[in-house]
Amino acid sequence: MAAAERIAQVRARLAQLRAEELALEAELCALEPEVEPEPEPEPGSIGGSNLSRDDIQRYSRQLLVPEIGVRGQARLRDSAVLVVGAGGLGSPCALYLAAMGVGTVGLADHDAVDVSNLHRQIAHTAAAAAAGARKTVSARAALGRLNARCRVRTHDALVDSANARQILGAYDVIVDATDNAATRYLLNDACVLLGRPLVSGSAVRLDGQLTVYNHNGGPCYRCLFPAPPPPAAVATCAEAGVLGVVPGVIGTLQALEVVKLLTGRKAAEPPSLLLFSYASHPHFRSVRLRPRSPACAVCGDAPTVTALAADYPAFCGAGPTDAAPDWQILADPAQRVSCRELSRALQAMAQPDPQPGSQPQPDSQPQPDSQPDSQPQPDSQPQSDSQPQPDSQPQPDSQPDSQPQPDSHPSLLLLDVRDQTQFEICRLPGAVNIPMDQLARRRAELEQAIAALRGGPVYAICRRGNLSQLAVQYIRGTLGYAECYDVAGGLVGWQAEVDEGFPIY
Amino acid sequence: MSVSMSAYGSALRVTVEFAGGIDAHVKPECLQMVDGAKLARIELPRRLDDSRAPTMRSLIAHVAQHCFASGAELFSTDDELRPGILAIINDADWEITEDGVDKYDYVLQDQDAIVFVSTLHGG
Repeated sequence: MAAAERIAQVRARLAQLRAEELALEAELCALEPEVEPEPEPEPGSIGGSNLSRDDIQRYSRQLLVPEIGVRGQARLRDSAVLVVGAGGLGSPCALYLAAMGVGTVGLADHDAVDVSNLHRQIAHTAAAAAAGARKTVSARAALGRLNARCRVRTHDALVDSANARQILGAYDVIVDATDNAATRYLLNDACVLLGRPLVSGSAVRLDGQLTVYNHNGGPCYRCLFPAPPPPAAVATCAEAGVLGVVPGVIGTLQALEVVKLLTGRKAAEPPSLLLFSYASHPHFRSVRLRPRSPACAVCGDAPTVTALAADYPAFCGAGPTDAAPDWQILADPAQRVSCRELSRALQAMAQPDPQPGSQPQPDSQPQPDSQPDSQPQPDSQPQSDSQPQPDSQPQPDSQPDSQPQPDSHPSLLLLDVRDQTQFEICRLPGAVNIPMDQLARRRAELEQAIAALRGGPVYAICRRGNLSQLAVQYIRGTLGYAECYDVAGGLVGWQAEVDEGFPIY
Repeated sequence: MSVSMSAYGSALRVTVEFAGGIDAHVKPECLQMVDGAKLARIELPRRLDDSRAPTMRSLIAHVAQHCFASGAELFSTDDELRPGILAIINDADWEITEDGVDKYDYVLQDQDAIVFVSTLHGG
């Protein structure tokens, strides 16, 4: 048999086994939400310590460290730690907790694995993403592969006011590895009410933060942040992006803090906040934190939050997931068009000769024309003010329709208001990029482009049809140009309604 | 802000860093690389027009006015920080001050290193 043929066979078999493993894990998860660890070998019967022979072998390198030793290892074994959020933070944290010998690891998550998770959520696999597996199931499989001596409990649920006490109550330490403000306040309050320490980590873009709350006279989350931030100031990984290794760094350090809590080492440390950044030098900075605030609403001397009755999403003005918002800013539906309507408008002005290099090319329909334009394109100069380009960053491969065509004027303007980084990921042919936060500053440029339309329509587009509504408000209101429409659904809608080959991020 | 250099001697110099995402709104021309850190060097008069020494409140108003192109409303409202932003003074949470002193009334010292960090929620 040719090697190539055998390679193909083996690969196919592996893919099949990987899918099968997940299916079996899901079945087990339904039958026994709590993994019963392999039977404990007789502890302490030989050798005099209260660790089993197997544990001594498995954890030998850790037992040799005096700060851990047999006592520390037994503490880990006899402890239960809940990781809320089996994502970018929770993946490395839970993996290390199981690997290091924490006896019981709880996994709480309500989500399914998506392929866009995999660059950072390293407990999950491509097979799990392809199957749309539950994160609890996928992560449980990962922990099980690492250490069958770890008891893994799964909670396939969104932790909320109704179930938090019951879920958290069975654990000694809670790890906040979630992705939103509402759940962070909820977990904080539950930990204060239950008297549990909270190991809180967060990561967005290139930055991470780490704090242990509600421990040893230190502050709780509400002591530091009595009021939630305005929702507009909250960046999520789905919207702002995140470098894969950043939550990895923070999640790994969360596992470290758990060990320090369980061994007792943490009691000797004053409260602190660790700041991490890809861009800072040095990468880490530790900041001393205030003690518990006597005026705190939940852990203070006269608390006003005494039960988990609060509506946390309402308190934060944002829901308990990092799902994309769906704004309805434009009250008049006549100011919005569907992606199909945009497609028709683009086709109506299509020219037989498609512009080379414009990408992506919708292959299912005639190429919507790049707009001919006698003006220099507003996006033909890289913006250097707000987002300096890394040296190695390739410039956009095409500047759509940069050849001046003096005898024609464009019949429409497709204005893409995403930032330049997103514009470079994917865009419709002929789109002109002026980021939303630059509209006012680049007003002259925009007005020039609109004047060239001689009354033709402006279509504002963005990723999902949220920001572009603000652009329509600006153009209709401030610039007084009424032939301006929002493309409802944005590029995500374009993929769903017009061209399924269009990439979405 | 209503400050002016006056006859009280040289300016008060502090450094200000922005972290956790709020840095994305800071005017690039306000920042310089110093020992690998991007920070703003801020000079304030040692006495304000009302002859009082500059405080954190004065600094926040100054920074909001001079260091932000847009998004200043995500940093502060008038002269108070928006919820979700911590101020760190010389590597300590600014709430660690003498008892009874409003944190906004902290009197800036020459060479103070201030960090404004917005809290992150993602994961």
